[in-house]
Amino acid sequence: MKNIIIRKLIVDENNELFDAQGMKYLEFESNFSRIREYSAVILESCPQQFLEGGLLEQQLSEIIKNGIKHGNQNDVSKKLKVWYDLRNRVRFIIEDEGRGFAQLEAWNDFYRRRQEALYNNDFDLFLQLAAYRGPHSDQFDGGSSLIAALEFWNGGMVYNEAKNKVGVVRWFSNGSYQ
Amino acid sequence: MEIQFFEDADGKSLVVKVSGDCDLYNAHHLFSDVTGRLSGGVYSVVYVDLSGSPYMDSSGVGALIRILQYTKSRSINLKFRGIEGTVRKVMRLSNILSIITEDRQ
Repeated sequence: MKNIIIRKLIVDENNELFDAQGMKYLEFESNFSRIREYSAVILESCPQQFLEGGLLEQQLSEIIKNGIKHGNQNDVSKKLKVWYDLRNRVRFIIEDEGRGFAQLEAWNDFYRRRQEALYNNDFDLFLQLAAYRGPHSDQFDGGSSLIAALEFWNGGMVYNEAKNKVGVVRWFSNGSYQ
Repeated sequence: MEIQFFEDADGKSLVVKVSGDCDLYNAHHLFSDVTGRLSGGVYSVVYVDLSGSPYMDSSGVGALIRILQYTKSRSINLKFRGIEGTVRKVMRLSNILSIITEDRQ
């Protein structure tokens, strides 16, 4: 039997994913050209089995990109704050100084329609909805980062009320996304 | 990232070979280069070979989706080759493997 899976971005200010106790901390200027470099710095001490090839770096870079580009508008005077814990699982809290992800509910609606199109085998509609285009999307935005993020961060992905801070966690059972 | 184009003998098929990381810094070139090459309306089949690309992010996936939309709107048959490793994982996470055609040589 075919199942429809519709995940959602959620807002929960008091979620345990925002508990930074015991986590390491780094902050970065909002330099778009250094996003992947920032990820590499954060993951310097990450156990090899959590890296999953380049997958963890890729997913972390997407969150950092969202904070630097969409949150801080590439304003180098604005900081991106990163808390991280790479023991037993990988957990991050990333906060920017922007106005927050105002399109969060619109994105959830987009994702629901996308998944329904897939469920209904409506591939023409699914292809139209394959990537999210928001009011500020440009040629550098793929439009699929949050779709993949909801899959990858299998222990949760939560925003604060201001929607400028996200907490994520990935648990490992057999060590890799298959 | 490097993008190379190869034509078959009859000039109707085009192979697009992508090498290196396809990421937020260069993925827009993939879309513009490929669609620029296709704009003449000569090709009926296009193969995008990703076997030389070890890394792709959402910008790369987005470029592929836009190429898919472009080719579909012009009835060009688009097929993918060499989707492996991290690139395959990213495309699976992005849930687009179900809408592409893979050419397993």
